[in-house]
Amino acid sequence: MFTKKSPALRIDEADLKCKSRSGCDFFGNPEWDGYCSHCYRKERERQQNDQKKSPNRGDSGSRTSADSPLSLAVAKRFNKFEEKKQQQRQQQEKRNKFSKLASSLRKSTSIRDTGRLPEPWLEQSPEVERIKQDYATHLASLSPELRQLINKYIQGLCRSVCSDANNISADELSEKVQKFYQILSKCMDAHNINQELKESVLDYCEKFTMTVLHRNLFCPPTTTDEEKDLAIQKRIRQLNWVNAKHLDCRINETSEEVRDLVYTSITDLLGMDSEKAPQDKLQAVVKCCRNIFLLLQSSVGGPASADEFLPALIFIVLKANPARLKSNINFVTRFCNASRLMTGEGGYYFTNLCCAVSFIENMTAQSLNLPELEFEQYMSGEVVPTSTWDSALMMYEGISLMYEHIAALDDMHKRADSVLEGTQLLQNTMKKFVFEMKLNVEDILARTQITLNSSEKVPTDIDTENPLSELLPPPITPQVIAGGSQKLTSFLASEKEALNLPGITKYAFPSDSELDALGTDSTPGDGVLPLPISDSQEFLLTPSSTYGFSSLDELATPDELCAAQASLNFVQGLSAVNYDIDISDTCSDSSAGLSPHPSFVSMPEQKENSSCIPQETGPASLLDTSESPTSKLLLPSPMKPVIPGPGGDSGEGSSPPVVSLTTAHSHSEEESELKTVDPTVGVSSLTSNSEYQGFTAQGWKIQSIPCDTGPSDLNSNKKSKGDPAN
Amino acid sequence: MSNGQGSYNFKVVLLGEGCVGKTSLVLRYVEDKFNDKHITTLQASFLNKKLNINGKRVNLSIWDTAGQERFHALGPIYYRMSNGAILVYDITDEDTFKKVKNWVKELKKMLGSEVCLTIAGNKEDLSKDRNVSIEEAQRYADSVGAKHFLTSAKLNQGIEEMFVELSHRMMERHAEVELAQAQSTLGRAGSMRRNVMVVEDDMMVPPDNSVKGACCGGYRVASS
Repeated sequence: MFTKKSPALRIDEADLKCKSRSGCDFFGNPEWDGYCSHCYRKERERQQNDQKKSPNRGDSGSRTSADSPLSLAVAKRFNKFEEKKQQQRQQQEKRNKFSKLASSLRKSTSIRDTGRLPEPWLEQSPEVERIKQDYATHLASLSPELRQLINKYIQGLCRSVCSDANNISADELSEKVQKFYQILSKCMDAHNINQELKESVLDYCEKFTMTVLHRNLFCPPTTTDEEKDLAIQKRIRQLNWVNAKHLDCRINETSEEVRDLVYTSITDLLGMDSEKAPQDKLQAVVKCCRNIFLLLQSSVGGPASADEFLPALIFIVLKANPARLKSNINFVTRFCNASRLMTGEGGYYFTNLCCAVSFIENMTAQSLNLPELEFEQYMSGEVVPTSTWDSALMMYEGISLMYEHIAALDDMHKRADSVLEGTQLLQNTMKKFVFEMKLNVEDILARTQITLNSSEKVPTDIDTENPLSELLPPPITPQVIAGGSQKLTSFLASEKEALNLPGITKYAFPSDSELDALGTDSTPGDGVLPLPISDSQEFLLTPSSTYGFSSLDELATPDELCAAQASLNFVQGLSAVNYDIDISDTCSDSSAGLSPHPSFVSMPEQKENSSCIPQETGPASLLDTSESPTSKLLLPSPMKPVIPGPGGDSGEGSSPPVVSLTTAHSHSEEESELKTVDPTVGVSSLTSNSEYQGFTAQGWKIQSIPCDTGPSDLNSNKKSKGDPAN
Repeated sequence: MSNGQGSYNFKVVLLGEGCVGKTSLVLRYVEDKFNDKHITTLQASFLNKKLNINGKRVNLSIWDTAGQERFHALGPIYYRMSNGAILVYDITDEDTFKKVKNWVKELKKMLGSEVCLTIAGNKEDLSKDRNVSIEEAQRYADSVGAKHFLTSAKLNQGIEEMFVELSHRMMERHAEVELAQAQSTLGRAGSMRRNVMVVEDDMMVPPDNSVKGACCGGYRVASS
């Protein structure tokens, strides 16, 4: 640089300075366009900004010019749509340029590779590939030449459409496409392709080309379709107050089924815009219309005719307000195979759609049978009709929700009922099962009775075998009675026990006095217990009375009761005394005290006893036996008081109750004889009872004797000997 | 429309005021049922009927149209490119016959002589209440080059004959057109072009159709 400038030696310093007008004092540099580094950077930034802006400015200018007439009419909601459209157009333009370039390049090579389409736009869309795949089988069945020919036609069309799309009118484009269809059709006729295959191949060609060329052909820039779209959109929005009644169409707005179908058909209609190929768009329309017929069927009651269908379709279009409606309709009318459009079901429905759109566009007060003024008011939004579709739907939505809930509740109710029923059933079966099981068990028991009996016998045998367990059936019955009722006495008894002998003696003593016990018995008793007599009288009253209750209440067998009552008072007294004592014994956990006694008394008798007094004694005896060994030892003292009582009893006939253990043993044989009588006595007979009591008394005495009285022993012995005589 | 191999596709539109029995007529013809609960078709507005006439397969696409007065203006959209038209009136209602006359005029204007016209006096079973004389109807039909039939959907009278006869005429007409096209190579392209243009036309105003004109005028007002 320096060298460059060096030849001109007369350079001014100003020339070397930075060029920038801001007048910075740095030196400039030719590489930086004569700027200093600082200013050069600034300059560059400025230029870059300008470059960026300039193309933008151009674009936005064109866009706004395009938008301006529309944007006035377009609601906010369509700005996006508008933008998208614009972008599409730009892309389209770019692509067109590209494709033109590509096609011009291809011209040189295209002759060679007619078999395949190397068009750059094909690779871009996967849906084109999908179409190819869908029709691959159909195409494969064509002869290779024909396939090539068809491909050539397709290529030709694509190329010419791409090159001319922006230059020629939509009508011309349409003519081109229709010609293409006709040529294809002819070509296939010439090759004697059967009808079905021809249809599908035509279908393929149409679908393929239209999908590929959709961007070029849909709403071409030379048309005013877009404005028409917006116009119809606005129109439909203005007409949003129109309801089924205005159109005289028989749509049952309050039926859930119909409402669903309305929504479905609206969705179908809206789906038309998302399809690319004209036949797919037609299919969307067909779907929509079929749903309309479905919903009409429920309200008309038979196959609906056009008289019902068209109003319904108009209604659906009004409610759907499909996007780019006009563009879609025009696209289909222009580029759909004309023969398809004119004959098939799709053509019919499409025609109806055109009719509906036309009707909507031209709708007047007259066509809705409304007065002019009212129509104008509705259109201007001054008045809103009361019964609009929306309000009906809103109401209905709530109601239907309610019904749904009610139905759900009903369902739950039913289920609960069924569950209850089920449980009932289960319960019954369970009961039945139990019952049957019982029967079975009983049956089995009946069959295998022997073993059971033996098992029953076993305990009895055990009892009998066990000398201790020998129950005193006779004594026990009374025991039970007393034990249940006489808590007082038991308390008393226990107290007496606590007090030891004196209390007992008191107790025993009065009984003796009452019963006019034999002098022999009483005298020793008196001698033993002189002091407590006064007290004993009191005691006497209480126990006797209690006994009275107990005896009446608790004697399980009425016979016993009767017998007891019938018996002499003194006998009762005797029994009462005995019982009291027994109770005290039981209370003090010594009820067994009695049991040992009989067991001692007679081994052989037991069987007889058990037989005689099976009910009450049985169990009692068992208990007794179990407790007997311990109780014996523990409860001698309570028994002592009894001794004088029985002594009194025995006083009547056989009152030698006081027997020592040893004597008891010795007398066992005699006693056993007596014992045989005992049970009967216990149950019913007075005499035997008295006798028996005597024996029981003896038994107790036997225990008590060691503690108590020496003299009584003698008496008892004598008396015991006397008893057998009785 | 011929699609080769000796089979034809014909589009037939049913025109007529509401309640003259268009739907019953077509249901009787296609399903052979009248006011039947067991009609299998979901709709009675678009039906196909396959025929075999002189060994040729003929497929009739029968398009029902909405007959209400308010939809009258939409007629041209329906009947464009149709090969045949059946104009139905109710013999007990003279107004419906007047309507038929209007339709005929319109069709003639729109489709020229390409379309085969049939006039059907329906509800023949109610002949005791006849308000349209047979002679008058016949005379009118002859004057416009149409065939006149008396039909009854209820009694299944005259329907089959009517459709068969119409099919015959359409085949003849088709043959004539083919011939004409063969004579001039341009003819075919012209006709195709015409077909396409008809599609375009439906949104344009046929200048001589006053009703249609009014509609589009209405649209322009609304859109401006």
